Amino acid sequence: MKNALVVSGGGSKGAFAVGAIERLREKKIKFDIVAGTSTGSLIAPLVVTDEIQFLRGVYTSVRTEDIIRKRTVFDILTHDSIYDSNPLWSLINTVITAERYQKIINSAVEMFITTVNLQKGGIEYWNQHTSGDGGGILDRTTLLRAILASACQPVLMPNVRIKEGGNQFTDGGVRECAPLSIAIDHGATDLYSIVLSPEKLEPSNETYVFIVKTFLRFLDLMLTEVTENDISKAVLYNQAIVYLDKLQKKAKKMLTTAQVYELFNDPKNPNPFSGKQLLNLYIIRPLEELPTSGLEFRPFEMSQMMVLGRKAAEDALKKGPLTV
Amino acid sequence: MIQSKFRRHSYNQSLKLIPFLTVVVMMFLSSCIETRFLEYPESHRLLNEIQKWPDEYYWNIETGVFSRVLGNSTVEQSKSLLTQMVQDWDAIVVLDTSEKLINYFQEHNLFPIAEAIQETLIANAEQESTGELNSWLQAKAIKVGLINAYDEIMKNTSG
Repeated sequence: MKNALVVSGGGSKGAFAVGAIERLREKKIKFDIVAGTSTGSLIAPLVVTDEIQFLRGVYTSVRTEDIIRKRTVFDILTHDSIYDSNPLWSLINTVITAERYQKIINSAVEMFITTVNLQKGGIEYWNQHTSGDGGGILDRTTLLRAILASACQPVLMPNVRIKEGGNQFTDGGVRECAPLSIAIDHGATDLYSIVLSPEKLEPSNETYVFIVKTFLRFLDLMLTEVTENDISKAVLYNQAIVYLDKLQKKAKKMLTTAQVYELFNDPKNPNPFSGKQLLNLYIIRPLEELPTSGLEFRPFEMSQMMVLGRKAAEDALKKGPLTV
Repeated sequence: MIQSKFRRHSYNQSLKLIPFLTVVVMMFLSSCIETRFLEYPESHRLLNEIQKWPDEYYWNIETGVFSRVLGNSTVEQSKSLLTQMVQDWDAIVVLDTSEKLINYFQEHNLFPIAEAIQETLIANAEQESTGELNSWLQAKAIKVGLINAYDEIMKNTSG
């Protein structure tokens, strides 16, 4: 059995995830794999070090000005983003101390930080146990920059060069908001996925005039779509395994053992699901839209979102894994 | 007639400015500066908050009480509870252990506050890194968390 925790992106809505994780840990659920995108990548390291109360403290103490700084019109025209994310960079440096970095490196828990490589256009995961240049967290600076890149929404926040002079990276949510696939690829059997948006996006009565508001709405729509695709991939994975299992049982009744073996072990067409297990998939998400755009960090609202997260985790555990 | 000529002249002059302005804007746009992140960024406010305490445990107690008091009740309930607490503050501030604080809130029908403190202490039970709990500091952290919660709710509900 391998437990995986996957935390999606959503800025300050990450407080919902912190509440949910707290409840899961109170239920003695431990994680072997932790994967996060955007705000999820800020949460992941402290789940690996199992400092949930510290995480609660961080997510109820930070304010918007601790994450982003507004630029002047002149600065916007001459810079690569609408906001400056140097405050977030400073926060990440404060939270992920050299001591914590060492704990993460020494931990048996596999951690994955999801980013998108702007030059290559693909998703890149950063893991503390991967050696070499491709996604390997070789030092503290790489980890800090990977977290920053994963959390920087394109256009709103600057792109990040994780390695000096290397490619630029941005929020992993552009391509994968809930990084379920990396957890499945690493053998997760019980997958707890915390998604920070409800199943259906609520209609909006707002007239979109301001660029930032329009962009935030666009991000909401895009992230909802990306998240639903990520979840449906995991559901489809389960459906395929169930279907193949049924097919195999049926074939056993009609064919000889050798024929069945030949049918399901064709070297020319290898079975991609060979040796894979059915996933116990728990989706923990809010029932309604959370009361923030994700870019506003207000301790009061974040405290309330934590309670919603705790309740959603409790409900998801009671309901049991998603059935196919 | 002269006025109209003047207006037309200034209109024509303004039109001539458009290419100039376009060039200026294009210059701005094409000279985008990539944001640099400092190798040693300035100390974050949060670090000072944490360092107020001799151990991170007490910061966890402060923020834990703060978030539970605000999160466990509705806005109106939290406001009412915390307003009553502030009215009794002179009696509360002298209580120097968590037990005395919990008893006080239970005796004065401020049960959600007592529960928030109890939940915080339970959640942090295994996180005292020093292994030597200072009950005076623990009570102080609880009181700081409570007063921060009061300030926060007043800020959010005023006006």
